[in-house]
Amino acid sequence: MKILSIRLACAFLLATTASCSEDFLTLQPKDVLTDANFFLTESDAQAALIGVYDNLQKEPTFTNFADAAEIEWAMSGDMYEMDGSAARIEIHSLNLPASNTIITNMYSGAYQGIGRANMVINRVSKMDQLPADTKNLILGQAKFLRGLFYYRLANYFGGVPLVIDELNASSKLDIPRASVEDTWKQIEADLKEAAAVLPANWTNNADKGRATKTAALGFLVKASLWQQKWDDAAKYSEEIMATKVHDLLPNYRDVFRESNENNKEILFSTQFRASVDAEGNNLVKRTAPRGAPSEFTGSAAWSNFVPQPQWVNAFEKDQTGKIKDRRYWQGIIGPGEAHQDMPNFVMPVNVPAGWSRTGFIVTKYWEAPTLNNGGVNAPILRFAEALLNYAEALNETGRSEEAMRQVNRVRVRAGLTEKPLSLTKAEVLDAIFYERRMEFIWEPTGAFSDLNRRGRFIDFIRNNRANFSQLGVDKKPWLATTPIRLPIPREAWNRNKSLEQNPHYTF
Amino acid sequence: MKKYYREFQVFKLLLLLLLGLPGQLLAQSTTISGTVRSATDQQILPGVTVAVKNTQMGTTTDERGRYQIPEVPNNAVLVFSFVGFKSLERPVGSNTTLDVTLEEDNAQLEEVVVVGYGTQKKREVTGAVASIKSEDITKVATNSFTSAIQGKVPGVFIAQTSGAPGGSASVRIRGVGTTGGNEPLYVVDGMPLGGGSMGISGSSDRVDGLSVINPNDIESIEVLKDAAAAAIYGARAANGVILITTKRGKEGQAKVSLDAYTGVQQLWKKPEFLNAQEFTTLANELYTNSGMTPNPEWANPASFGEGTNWIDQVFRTAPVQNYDVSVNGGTQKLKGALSLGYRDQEGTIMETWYKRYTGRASADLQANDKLSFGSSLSFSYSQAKGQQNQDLRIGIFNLAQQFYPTLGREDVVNGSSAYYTTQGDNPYLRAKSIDNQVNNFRVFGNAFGVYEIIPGLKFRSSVGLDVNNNRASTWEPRAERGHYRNLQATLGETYTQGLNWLLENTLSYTKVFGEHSVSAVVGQTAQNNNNNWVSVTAREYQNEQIRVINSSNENNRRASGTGSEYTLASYLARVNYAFKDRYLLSASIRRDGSSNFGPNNKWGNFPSVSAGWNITEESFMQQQTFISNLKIRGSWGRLGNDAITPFGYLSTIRLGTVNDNYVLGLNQGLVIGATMSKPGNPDLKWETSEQTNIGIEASFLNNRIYLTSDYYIKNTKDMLISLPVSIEAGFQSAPSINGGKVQNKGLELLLGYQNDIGAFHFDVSGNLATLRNEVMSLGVGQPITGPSVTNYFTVNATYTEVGQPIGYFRGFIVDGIYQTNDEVNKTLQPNAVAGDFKFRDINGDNVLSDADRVKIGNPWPTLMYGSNIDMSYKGFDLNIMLQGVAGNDIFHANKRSAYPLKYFGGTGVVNGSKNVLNRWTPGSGRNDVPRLAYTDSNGNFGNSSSFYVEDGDYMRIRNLTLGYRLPGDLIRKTGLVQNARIYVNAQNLFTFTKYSGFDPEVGSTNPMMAGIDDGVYPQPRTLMVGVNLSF
Repeated sequence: MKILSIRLACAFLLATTASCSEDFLTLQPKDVLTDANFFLTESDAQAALIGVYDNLQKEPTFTNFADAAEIEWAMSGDMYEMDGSAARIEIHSLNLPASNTIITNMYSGAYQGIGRANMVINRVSKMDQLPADTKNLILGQAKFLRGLFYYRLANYFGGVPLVIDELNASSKLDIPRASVEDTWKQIEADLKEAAAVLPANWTNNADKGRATKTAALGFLVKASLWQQKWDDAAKYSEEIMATKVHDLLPNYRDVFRESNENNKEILFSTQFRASVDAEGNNLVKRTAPRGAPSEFTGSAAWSNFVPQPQWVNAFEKDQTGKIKDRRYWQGIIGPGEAHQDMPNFVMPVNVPAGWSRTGFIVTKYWEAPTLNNGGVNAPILRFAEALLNYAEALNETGRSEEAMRQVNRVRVRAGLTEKPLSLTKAEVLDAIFYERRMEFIWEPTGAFSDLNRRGRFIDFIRNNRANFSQLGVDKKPWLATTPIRLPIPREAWNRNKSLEQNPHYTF
Repeated sequence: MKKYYREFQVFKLLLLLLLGLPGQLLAQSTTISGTVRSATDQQILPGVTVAVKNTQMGTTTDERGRYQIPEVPNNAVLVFSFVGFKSLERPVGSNTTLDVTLEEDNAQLEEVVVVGYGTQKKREVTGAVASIKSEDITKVATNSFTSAIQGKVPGVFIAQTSGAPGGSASVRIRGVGTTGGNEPLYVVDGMPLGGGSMGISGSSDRVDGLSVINPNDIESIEVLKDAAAAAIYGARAANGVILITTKRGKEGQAKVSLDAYTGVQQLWKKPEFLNAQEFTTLANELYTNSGMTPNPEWANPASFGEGTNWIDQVFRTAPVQNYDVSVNGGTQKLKGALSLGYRDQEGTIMETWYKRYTGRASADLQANDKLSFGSSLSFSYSQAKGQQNQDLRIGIFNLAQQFYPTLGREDVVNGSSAYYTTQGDNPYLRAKSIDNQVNNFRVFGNAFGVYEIIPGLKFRSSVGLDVNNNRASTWEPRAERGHYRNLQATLGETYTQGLNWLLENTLSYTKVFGEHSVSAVVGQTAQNNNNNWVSVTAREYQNEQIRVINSSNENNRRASGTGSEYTLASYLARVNYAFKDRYLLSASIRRDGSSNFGPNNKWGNFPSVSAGWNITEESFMQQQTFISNLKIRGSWGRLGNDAITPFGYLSTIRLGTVNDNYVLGLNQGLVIGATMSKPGNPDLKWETSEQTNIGIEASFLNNRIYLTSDYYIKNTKDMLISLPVSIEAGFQSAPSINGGKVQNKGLELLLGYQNDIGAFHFDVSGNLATLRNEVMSLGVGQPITGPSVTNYFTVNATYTEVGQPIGYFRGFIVDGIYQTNDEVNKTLQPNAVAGDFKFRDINGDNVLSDADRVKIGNPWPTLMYGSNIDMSYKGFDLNIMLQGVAGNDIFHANKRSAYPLKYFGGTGVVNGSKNVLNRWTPGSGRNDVPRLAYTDSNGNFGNSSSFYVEDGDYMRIRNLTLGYRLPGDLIRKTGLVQNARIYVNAQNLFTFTKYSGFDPEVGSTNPMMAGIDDGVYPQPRTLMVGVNLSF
C-alpha cells in the first residue's frame, strides 16, 4: 500500500524526477524467480537438482514408453502397435524418417535434461557457501543424470553435439556433432565422477530413488559394452557386485509392484506417484486393454502395445505344452487367463480386437485400476540386467562358464532349469540374448539397442518378425550400417544447420 | 462594434432614467417576420433559431418555416442559425418581412475528429485517420463495435474468430507486422482498454472482451492508421490505434430513447456428411481395402437409410434479443447521459449462449468560466456458456461431423473398438453434460477536470480506472457413456482480477495569430496494470447436485494461482501549425518507459512528422467549381509494440510446477524442483515500426463525389521473435530476441457518391485496400515453424521465412492420385499404393524430404474490399454493406477429421464429409480424394499438403437494413413518442465463396495460425426486426 501511494504521488507529480519514474518502472516479477536471486542457499541448489530429475518423468525420456515401447520393442517387433498412429508405424516399419516425432521428442527431451543438468553443474560448483560433501552429492547426481541423457543419445544416434556448459541467448548455439568416441568419453567422465561420490545406498528413506553409485556403475557397464571394452565392463560389474546392495527378488512380479518400489533389484528407476498430473505416468493406461470394464482399468485404457505371438511362442514350455516361464505367468495375461492381482478380471477366450489384437496384454505395470495417472515407478536399470551385462563381459573375456552362472541366476528366478556351464562362447551369447528378450519386455532394454549393439538386429528380425518380408530391409540402406543409427531429427537440423545426418538418411 | 453597442445600451438606460420616456420613442422599432428555406432545395426549415444579435430576443421557426419577432429595433441584426447550415446575419433596416435561405454547411469539411489527446478539424488533419459515427455503428446490430468497422475502413481487416455468441474478432490494421501480438491499441475516452477477448475454460469459444463497450453508447470511432496519427501512443501503437468516444450529455431537454431488436440466427451453410447407408457402405469398403473383416453389424447398409444427421442434432436456430435504453440531456452548466443495455443471445451450437448487462453514466459540469469537470462510468456483467469446438477429435462441432449416423440421438458407443472409436463420444449427450461458463464483471471509467488558465491554454487532469473481475468455471459430471469415461466429476473454478489505472495530465494551447494558427499539447501519463488469478480444480463428488469446491473430496483438490504487474510512464508532446488554412504541419513525440523491459532499454522515443496542403484554399483554385476540396498529405513516424511476455530481459527460474517437481523417498513424497524457464536477454526491447504514408482527400461537384486514398509502407524492425534455438541448447523455452524485419505496404482507397434527388437521398461508397506482407529478415533466426495445427493433428502447417508473408502455408504439392500400382514411384514414396496421393518431388532428387515442402498458400488477403450503400426516401431508409477478401487461402484442417473416415490416432472408423463419396476406387480415375484405408502409411492425410489448401476468397452481404420512420404527425398524436422507426435487418444474408467448409471467415489471434480452419464455430446468418423510439 505504501509503495502504491508513493507510485501514485510520483505519477501525480508529473513523474518529473528521474528517480521517481525509474522507481515506478522497476518491477520484479511476482510469479517467477530470477537467476539473480536464486542459487543462494542449499535449498535452491537442491531444488534445481530436482528440476533435472523431473525431466526423467517426461514421456519421451525415461518413462519406459517412448524408448521402451515405441522404439525398442516395436523395432524388434515383439510388441505390436495397436493404434496405427503414423509416427509409430514409421518406427515399427523401420522407415525411420528424420521427421519422426517420437525420435524428435526423444532427442529434444534428452537435451532439455542436459540443459537442466548443465545449469546445476555450472551454478552449484560456484556456490562456495555449500559444504563440500553436500555440493559433491548434488554435482554427482547432476552428472549422473547428464551422463544418462547423453547415454540415451549416444545409444541411438552415435556422436552428438556435446553441450556441457550452461548456454544463454547470446551463446553460439549451432553446435556441430562430436565424434562418437568423444561422446562416450564425456559420458564416462560424468558417470565416473558420479560413481566416485554417490552412495551405493541412500540411508535416509526420504532419499530413496535418487541416483546411486551402482546406478552410475551400471551405466558405465553399458557404455563399456557399447564400446566393446569388455574388461572395463567386467570391472565395473564387479564393483556393483561388491557393494552387495543388490540382488534378484525371488518373485519376478514383486520387482514392479508399487508397494515394493526401490527394492533391492532396482539400480535406477524413474519415480512416480499416483496423481492427476505428470507426477504420475500413463503406463497403466497404455497397457490396460481398451474397452475392458473401468473397474479394472480405471479412467482410461488404450492397450497401445501388446506382445506379438512370436514372443509368446518363444517361452520355454513343458511336455504338456504349457509355458514354464514364470515371467509369462507373472507379467502377461492371454486369452482365458485371469489377471494376477485382480482375479475377477479374466481375458475373454476370444479377445476383442480392441482389447488386444494378439490376445495378450502386458501386466507388469498394470496391477490395479488408476483414477488418473498411475504411480508405478518405471524401472530403468535393474539387477537382472546387471547380471546379464556382467555375463556378456565375462563371456567376451574368455570366462564363459562364469558368464553362464550369471545367466542361470536369472533363469532360476524365472522358474527355468539351469543351462549347462559348458556352452560355447557363441551359445552363451545366445543364451544371454534369450534371457534379455524374455526378461525385459516393455522395459528400455533387451530389444533393439542390445541387438543393434552386437550387430544381431537384422538377423533377429529375419528370424522372428512375421512381416519381415514386407519390411523391405534390403531397400533401406540405413539398416545396413553397423551399428544402425537413428536419423538426427529434421527439427534439430532446421534450427542447427551445422548438424550432419547419419549415413543414408535425409533431413 | 461590440463595445460601441454596450455603450449605447448604457446610454439608453441613462436616458430612460433621466427622462422617464418610453424607449421606443428614441429608437424606431417594428415587428419582423419571414420564412426560412434551405438554399439548395428551397425546402422550408422548421426549428431555425432566429435571434436578435446581442440581445435576449429571439424565436424559432414554426412547422411552416415561419418566424415573427415583435419590437425589433430597425438598427438590429437578425442571426439565423440551424444545425447543419451556415449561420446567416441580416440587418433589419426598414424591412418588416425578411425571407432568407440558409446555405448548407459543408459538413464534411467542418467535421471534427478525435485524435489522441485532443480533437482536430478534419480539414486540418495530416495523418491517416478514419472516422465512423454513431449512426453507422448502430446500423449493424451486434454485440461488438468491431462488426461496425468491418468492411468500412480500408486497411482495417477484421475477421470474426468465432461465430460463438458474444464472440470476438481479430482486428489487423495495415497487415501483420510481427509474429507476436498484432492487436491494435483500444483507447476509450482516453483510457486504454485491455483484454481483446476472454476464454471460456474448457472451451474453444472466446468472448469479446471489448463488448464491455455497448455499441449503442459509442459516439464515434476513430481509427488511427498511420504513424503520424498513432505515434502519440508510442510504444503501444505499432499495430494502429482505435479511439472510441462515448456519448455524453447534450444541452437540451431530456431525450429518452429505446432501441430494441430481436431475431434468429442459423447456419447459412451446412456442408453435408454421409448418411448412415453411405457411411456403412464406405466403412465396409475401408475394411475390405485394408484386408480386415468389415463390421458384421454394418453388413446391410441399405437397412440403415438416412440415419441420424448429427449436424442437425447439434446445430439449431438460435434467438437473439437486445434492448438499450438511454437518457440524455442537460443545461448549459450540467449535462448528463445514462444508458442501460441488455442482450440475450443463444448460439447456433447447442448449449452455448451469451448474456450481457451494460450500464453507462456520464456527467459534465461547467463549474465556472474557467473550470469544468466530467466523469463517466461503465459497467458490464456478461455471462457466456461455451463448448469445446475447435478440436479435431473431441470437440462438439467435430464430433457432430464424425459421430455415427447409424446411432440415435441418445445412443452411446459400445461396439467393438475395431470398428468404433473408443475415444468418441455422443456430441449431443456430451454437450448436455458439460457446463463451461465465464462470468465477467467489469467497471470502467474516468474522471477529469479542465482548467482554462488563460484563453486558449487549458490544463486537463484525468484519472481512469478499469477493474475486471472474471470467474470461469468448468463442470463435468461423472460419466460412463459407452467407451467414454470421466470417472470423477470435475469442477474447475478460476478467478481473475485485473486492476488497471491511468493518470494523465496534459496542457493544451490553441491560438490564432492572424493567418497563423497553432495548437499544441504536452502531457505526462502513468499507467499501472495488475493482474492476479487463483484457480482450483476439484474432483470426486458424492452428490453432483452440489457443484461447489467444498463438496468435493478434500484430498482431490488442486489449487494454483499467480499474479503479474506492469507499469508504463510516458511523456508526450504535439504541435500543429496551419498557415492560411492551406499549409499544415504537425509533429509529435512520445517517450515511453515500460517495466517490461530491462535497464538497457527501459525508455524509447517515438517521433512523427506530417504535413498537408489544402490546395482548394489557394487563390488559383477559387475560380473553379469542379473540385470542392482537395488536400494532399504526407507523414512519417516511428511506433512501438511492447506486447511481449514481461521480464523477457531476465533469466527466470520457475519453481514448483509439475514440470519442475519430482517424487522421492519410500513414501514417494513430492519434492519441489526448479528450472530455468527461459534464459534472459538483457538487450530485449520493443519492436519498432516506421511508417511512411502519403494520402489524398478530395471531393468534387459540391462534395457529391468524395475520395480518400492512402499509400503506405510500414517497416517493422526488431521484431520480437522467440529465438529458434537449436534443440541442443536444451532451453525449456526459447529466449526472445529482437530479430526480424517485416514490411507491409498497400494502397487504400475510399470512393463515394452522394446526392439528393428530391426527397431521395443516397450515399454509395466502395473501398478497397491492397496488402503485401513480406518478411525481410529473421536476423540470426532460422525460419519459424508455426505451431501444430492442434494437439492431435501435429502438423506444422505454417512457416515464416524471409521473402514470404508471415505464416504462409507450407507442405507437399499433391499431383493427383496414383491410378495403378505400377505408376507408383516406390523410391519417392516407398509406402504408396494405387489410390494414394502423388507428392511432387520438387528438387528431383527422388527422395521425399523437407526440401520438397513448398509454399502452398497465403493466409493473408491481398485485396480487401467493402461497399456501403445508404439510401433514404421520405420515411424509408436502406443500408447495404458488403465486405470481401481476395487472394488468400484457407488451410482446411478440418478435412483431417472429415475425410479419412478412419479415426486418427485411435482405433475404428468415424463418419465424414459427403465428398468422400468421390474417393478413389480402382479404375475410377478420380484424382482428389484418396482411397479409403485403415492406415495412412503414405501420409495422405498426415502430411501438410495442398490437399488441405482451398481458395479463401469470399464476398459477404454483411448487413442489410430496411427501416421506416413513422410519419411525425401520426407519432406526435400519441403525445408521448417523438420519433419512431421500425426496421428489419439481415446479417450475413448471402456469402459468395468456393470454400468447402462451414464458413470462410476464420480469424485467428495468432498470426502463425491465421487462415487455419480447425473447426471454427461458424458465423451464423441473422434475421432481425427492431424498433427505435425516442420520447
